[in-house]
Amino acid sequence: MVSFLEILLNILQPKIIVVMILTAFYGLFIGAMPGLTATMAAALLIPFAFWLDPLTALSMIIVMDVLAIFAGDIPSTFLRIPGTPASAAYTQEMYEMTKKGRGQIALSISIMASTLGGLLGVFVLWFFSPVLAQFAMGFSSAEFFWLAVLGLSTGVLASSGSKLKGFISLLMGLLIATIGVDPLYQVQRFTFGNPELYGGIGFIPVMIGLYGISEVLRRMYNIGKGTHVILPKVEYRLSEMIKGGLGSIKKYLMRFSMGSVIGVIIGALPGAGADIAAWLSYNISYRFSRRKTDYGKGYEEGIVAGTSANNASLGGAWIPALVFGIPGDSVTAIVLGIMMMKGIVPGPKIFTERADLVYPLIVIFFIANLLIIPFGYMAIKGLARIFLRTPDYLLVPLVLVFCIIGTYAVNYSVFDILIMLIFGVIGFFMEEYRFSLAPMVLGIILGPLTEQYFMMTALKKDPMVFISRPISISIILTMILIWIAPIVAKKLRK
Amino acid sequence: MERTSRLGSILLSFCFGLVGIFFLVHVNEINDLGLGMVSPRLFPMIVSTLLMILGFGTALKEALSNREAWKPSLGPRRFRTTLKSALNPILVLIITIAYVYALSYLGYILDTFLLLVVTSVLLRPQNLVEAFLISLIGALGTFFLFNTILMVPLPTGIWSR
Repeated sequence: MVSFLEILLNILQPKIIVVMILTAFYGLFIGAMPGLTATMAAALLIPFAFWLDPLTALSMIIVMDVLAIFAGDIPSTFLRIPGTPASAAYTQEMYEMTKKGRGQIALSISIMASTLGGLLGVFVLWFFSPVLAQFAMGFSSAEFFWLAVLGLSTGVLASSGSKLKGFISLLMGLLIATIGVDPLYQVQRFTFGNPELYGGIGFIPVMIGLYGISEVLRRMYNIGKGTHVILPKVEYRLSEMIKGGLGSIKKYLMRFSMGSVIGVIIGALPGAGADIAAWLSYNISYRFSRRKTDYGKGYEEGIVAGTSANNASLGGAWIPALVFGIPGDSVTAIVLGIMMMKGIVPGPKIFTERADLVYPLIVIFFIANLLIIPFGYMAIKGLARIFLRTPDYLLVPLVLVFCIIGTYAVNYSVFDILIMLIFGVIGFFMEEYRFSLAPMVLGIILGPLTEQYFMMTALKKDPMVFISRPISISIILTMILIWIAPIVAKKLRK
Repeated sequence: MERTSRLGSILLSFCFGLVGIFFLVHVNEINDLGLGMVSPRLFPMIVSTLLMILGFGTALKEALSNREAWKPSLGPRRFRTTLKSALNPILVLIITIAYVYALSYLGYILDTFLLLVVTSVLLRPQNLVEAFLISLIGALGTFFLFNTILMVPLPTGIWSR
């Protein structure tokens, strides 16, 4: 075990401090740009990691990741376009708050919930890594399948408007996710001989299309109709924002705690990341809320639940990576690559054998979460002014270009831009006729996992495998509880 | 207003039902590798069948639940969407598709500049010079940001040949 003083001496080097500040700005920029993901940003940092020592290289990834996941909320708030997939779950809530002149307060809630949720994730990473990793490794394909079903079903239950339409939206998402090469057998499906479809329909073009392009089309449509919504240009003082953010967390402390715990657990599961954590937390929060009708209309409770979960999951994702060498999400997969490049072998003994590296990294994780506060407020003050004061004839064309370039940057594919446009049109009509977009996005995210684990379990030829293990039964019971508890509680209250 | 909204909803639900049928028909083209039931066809078959049933079911439900609105006594139907209001989004889509196809010829900077200018003009700018300048800065700025800093290889078009 290394002493705290040694850890601090390791961290407080000018090189590390400069790298952390630079990557904080980089993370903010990447997160605030629709289409650019933290994974892509981490991949772009690999060449720099090659020249840096392990601690500095990994610090760079941590700070970027934490800030990017927070910054994904900024375009959600002002443009209704999630900056990263992790912000998609509560984008509608953030934007609706902006329409009420409370966009900066929504972001302030995001800052505080992200910071505190992230700190809780770091706390768990420090003290409970081996225990939680062991728990996560106990998941078989059946448990993963039920977990995915839990996520999908809560997604439909939390969708605004008709649940039937929400279910249709989810099925569309699941069907889109089947396009491309089958994850288990590597067989082509619905590609119609088009090589561009072999890799499937990318999640980023679909998400930017559904949220970004549909918003551009809606603004153009409303201007033509003369019913254009003008966002209130209300700006808050820093003290008001901090007070607003902390006040909301205090008010919705249960949702914050639940979101953080869900975030850490989901993060620790291999293959599940910040986006799934945010969706699950937001949906469960809705299901147990006493004010369900306020969801989707700019309700702070949903924001607290979602944004605390996505940042908490970042710490959780490092647990299986450090303890077993299995990535918790796509960013930790890159982290493991860098560790291998530097000759660091992850495993249960890493906490003792490489304590000089692991504990400073955890402290950097801690600092990175605290950096959200100053950098986040700086970004809000600057970007709110730009988004709220720029007239539509300048803002809308620029948003269109950023949607296009953000989509193109993922695979350098013009085909992806066309996919984005198609989903923009689909999104426009779906919203116009009250089909919630959220279940479709959730279906595309969870579709491959759901199918893969369903098939893996089905291949065991015994249907009882689906329900024979204790964790499976626990998840099924939790799911049933989530479905029926609010109904029973309502009946009991009457 | 309710009436036209229902019509759109019925049509969209019906379209989703058709999408379900489309995928269901093409499920048989997937190589099942001789695996029988648990093959790569299984999951899409389940999902597309459900989509087909729910799509048509919702369309029917919406149509039946609003039968009163279809009675002739209500007078001529009034559509919310007029050609004028639909023109802008349609034009933006056409312009963006043209932009995508022209990208490899005109290159990113010129093509993006044209897209920005034309879209700004569609939104009736208060200051044309400002829109023109912002379009120019936007095209150059995003090129520098993505091509130079983020190393995204953007098309340079015929000018680089």
